[in-house]
Amino acid sequence: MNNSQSPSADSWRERYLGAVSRFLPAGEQDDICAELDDMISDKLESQQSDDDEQQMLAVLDQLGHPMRLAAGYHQQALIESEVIPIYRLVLKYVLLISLSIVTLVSLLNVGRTEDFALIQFVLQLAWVLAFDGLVIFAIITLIFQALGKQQLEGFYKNWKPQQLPEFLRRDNKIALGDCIVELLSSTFGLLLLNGWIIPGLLFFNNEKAVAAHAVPEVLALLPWFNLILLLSMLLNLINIFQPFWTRTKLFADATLSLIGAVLLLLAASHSRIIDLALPVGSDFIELEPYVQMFVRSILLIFAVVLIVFGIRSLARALKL
Amino acid sequence: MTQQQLNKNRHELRRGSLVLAVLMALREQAQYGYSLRQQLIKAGLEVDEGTLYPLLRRLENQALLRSEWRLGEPQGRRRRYYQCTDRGLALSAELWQEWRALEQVLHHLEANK
Repeated sequence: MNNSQSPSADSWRERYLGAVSRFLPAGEQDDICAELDDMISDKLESQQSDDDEQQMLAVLDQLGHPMRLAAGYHQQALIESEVIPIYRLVLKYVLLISLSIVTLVSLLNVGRTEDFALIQFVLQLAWVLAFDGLVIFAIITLIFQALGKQQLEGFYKNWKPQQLPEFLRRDNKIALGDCIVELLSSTFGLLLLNGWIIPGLLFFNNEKAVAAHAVPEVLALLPWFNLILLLSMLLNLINIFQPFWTRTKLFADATLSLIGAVLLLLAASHSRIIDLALPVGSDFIELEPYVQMFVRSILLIFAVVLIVFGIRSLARALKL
Repeated sequence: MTQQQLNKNRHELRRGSLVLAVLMALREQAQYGYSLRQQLIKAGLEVDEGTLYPLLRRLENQALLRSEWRLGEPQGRRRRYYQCTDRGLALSAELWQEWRALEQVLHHLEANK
């Protein structure tokens, strides 16, 4: 990056390259952006101007819509390369919305099923998601094949670099993989805490499973845990659609992490965290304090991790 | 014929010859995207960045060009330099022959109108 530019000129450059990188082929974004960054510097050096920011905006205007620039890097396949960035954007949004609704409906139906079998549920859900995904892919692809690049000319032509929002900066980018992992972790945590995956935690005592349930004081925190996990799922869903940090999103992320940590610390503060359904006179009863200590350690580790994540997001939000 | 038709056909004609022009420009000496574009413009072939830079990548993917990041002059910035491979040189020679043959056909048609 050319450091001789004013901060605002650099900010426009970062936003533009961030916007282009969103639509470049995966795995090539950094390399292509480095080359485009270099090309912008060359163009700026060839034009002498006193106003860095205006000069930068003029250069970006010459380069045109980020989607159009990124389109050239795609190989033409089913769809014309000029249309591929917007096609992929639409496909991603429609797939995510539709498949999220399908998953949510399936999860809600789980509550009504009397004889729930996890493996059967997972296989059915995978089949429905794959089938619906293929149908949506076919419909969107056919629509975009019919559309052609001429339909997008107006969309590209009316673009101005001043429309680039601050959050598009490359250093604000959120990796899609991270969003998906966090979304799945929150979903798994929600299912686990509410006993939808296994009915209570299990410990083994001489090959005999012993069910363990949270004590009532800890169980009273469950609605709050559920709320935090649901909000975390929502935030990650939004991040999948808008994979860039904004100050509001960072504050929300920090708040959720810190409240989650407080809840974990509250749960860990009880002298007994779980009740073991042990038969009278069981040998396993001697190990009970160690089991409590083990569960408490797990809760404390998660709490520390959440505090670190929360402080990191808070510091980033204040810097933005 | 409308101006729009002329522009569209001119654009397609120039785009068709762009691969040959790029290969010819990179036969002798390695160049980075911006300097190559300046050379093409100076020679009379206007090409925008959104066409040239992706084309360089495509030609590299087809093993017609090779590239490397290295420090350039005069600013000393790291730049991606492209140069023809042997395969690119062979293709450029073939396409040049094709171009000459096509030129003769067009001259012949023009002379017999």
